[in-house]
Order: sequence, then C-alpha cells, then structure tokens
Amino acid sequence: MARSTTMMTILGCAALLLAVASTSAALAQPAKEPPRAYQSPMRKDCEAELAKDKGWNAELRDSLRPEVHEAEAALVTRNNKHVVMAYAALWILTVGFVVLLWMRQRRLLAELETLEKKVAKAAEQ
Amino acid sequence: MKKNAFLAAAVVCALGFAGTLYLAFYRAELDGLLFFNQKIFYYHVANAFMLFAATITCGVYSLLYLRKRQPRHDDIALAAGELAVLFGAVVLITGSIWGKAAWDKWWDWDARLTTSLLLWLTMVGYVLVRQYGGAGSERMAGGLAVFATVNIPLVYFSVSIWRTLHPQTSVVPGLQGGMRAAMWSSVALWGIFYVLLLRLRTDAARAERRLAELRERALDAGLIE
Repeated sequence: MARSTTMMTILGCAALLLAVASTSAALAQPAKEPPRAYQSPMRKDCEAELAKDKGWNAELRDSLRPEVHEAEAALVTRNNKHVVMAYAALWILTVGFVVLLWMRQRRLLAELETLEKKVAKAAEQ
Repeated sequence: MKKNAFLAAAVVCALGFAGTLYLAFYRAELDGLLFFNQKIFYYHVANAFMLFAATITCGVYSLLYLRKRQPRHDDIALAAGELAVLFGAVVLITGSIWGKAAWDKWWDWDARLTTSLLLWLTMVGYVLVRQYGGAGSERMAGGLAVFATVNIPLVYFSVSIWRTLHPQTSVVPGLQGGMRAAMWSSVALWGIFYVLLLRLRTDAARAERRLAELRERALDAGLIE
C-alpha cells in the first residue's frame, strides 16, 4: 500500500515537472507570425503590362462585370433549346405515326372497295 | 370503335395535351438543378410508362396467341408491338436530349439507358419479324415479345441494381405540388392516347387480316385473278 502511494507521488511529481518544463520551453520560443497571403512576384510586371495593353485591361474589366455572370446564369436557367428539341422530336414521331396509321386505313378501304367491285363483276358474269 | 366514342377520346386527348402542357410549363415549379430543361421529364417519363404498357400488352397477347391460336389476340399483340416501338423511340430520343442538357453528353452506356435500348431493339425485332418473316412469323415474334416483357423489371430496377447516372425510381413518387400534378396528368393522358392508338391499330390489323382472307377465298372461288 505504502509502496504504491510512493510510486503515485513520484509519477505525479514527474508529470508536474514535465508540464512546467514544456510550458517554459513554449514561452521561451518567439510567437509565430500568422502566415502571410501569397503575393506574386509578377504582380508589378502584370500591372505594368496591363497599363500598357489597354485592350487586355478592358477585356479583364468586362469579364468582371456582374452583367456577364447574369448572362451566363440566364443561359443555364432560361435555356430552352433542349426542351424545344425534345418536344419537337416527340411530336414529329407521334404525328408521323398517326398519319401513317391514317394512310394505312385509307389504303385498306381502297383495297376493300376494289375487291368488292371485282367480286361483284365476277358474280354478274 | 364506335365513331362517337372515338371522337370523344380524340377530343379528350387534344384538350388533354393542351392541359398537360399548360400544367408542365406554367404550373409546375422550376427545378432547382436543371431549371427549364426539366420540362422534358413530364412527357419523357409518361412515354416510358407507355413503352412498358405496350410491351406488356404485346407480351401477354402473344402468350395468349401462342396458347390459344386466336387471331384476335395476335392482332392486339401486333398493334401493341408497333406502339412499343413508337413510345420506345420517343423515350430514347427525349432521354438523349435530356442527357445532353443534364450530363452534357448525348449517350452513355449507363445501365438504364442500355437496358432501355435493348428493350426497344427487341420490339423493333418483333415488328421486323412480323413484317418480313413470312408465314408463321407471328409465333416466332410472339416468343420475342414474351422475352421483351420478361426484361421490363430489369429495365425498371436497373437504376437500383447498378450505379447509374439516370435518376432513381423514387423521383416520380417523391414529386410534390405542381410537378406531381403535371406528371400524373401526363401519364393519364398518354394512357388514354395509348388505348386510342391501340384500338385504331388493332382495327387496322384485323381489317388487313380479313382482307387477306377474303382475297384468298375470292381467288379460290375463281372470282378474281
């Protein structure tokens, strides 16, 4: 019992010493500066180039206008090209089938009429 | 079909097409992902249901014909087979356009797309065998129709069995509000239109068969040359 109490006391003291040592070591180190945002070494060159090339400058400014993004969004949200294509294909196929059916019906009626006439003529003879 | 009943059904269909298009384009909410392109969905899915209905009709009546050899069953099977080809073509073409809008590609060898194509090709095979197979081709074609019918569960559940680009089967039951009304009214309308076309085409098939029988009798009797 006494031995285990001694052991626990020693371990507690060791832990305390370790904590104090690590805290003092951390305090001794200089405070880390927050990481700086990356700054391109080409920035000045680009700005100089943009100042010289007015067309490029205007193009870049144009692409940043909100109207450009609105137009792109409208292309997705109000795009009706595929809907028109799908419904056109659907109606062409369906109406085509109905027309073919109607033509087949007419051909049948014509054939029936011809047959009736032939039979009637043969019966008369 | 009685003329009045036919006219009534035709009027219902004409009004129905106008009504369902109104519901799909003006009443159904705009989809948050595909926006306006989602409007393809209402007729695409309805036609897919009609493809299944026509194939099942063709398969069931072919089976009946194979067992009982009643020509009236065969007439219905032939009519339904042709309609399955029509609805299948509509489904594949509108689906391909949908794919271009949603996935930016006209076709993908996805499980649902591939099984649907195989089902349609089987029904095209059925019609071709009927058209050019000669005497007895209706029995061979009947077997094809039964095979196509057995394939339908595979087409329907393909999105659950395999990983696919195609939306799941839970999309249609999960629709709400205006989308739900547009969807189910389209299905009902295409159902009426399918029955109307089936009846018309069956009448034509029956008339064709009777005309051929009459011609044979007249030839046998020496009434015609």
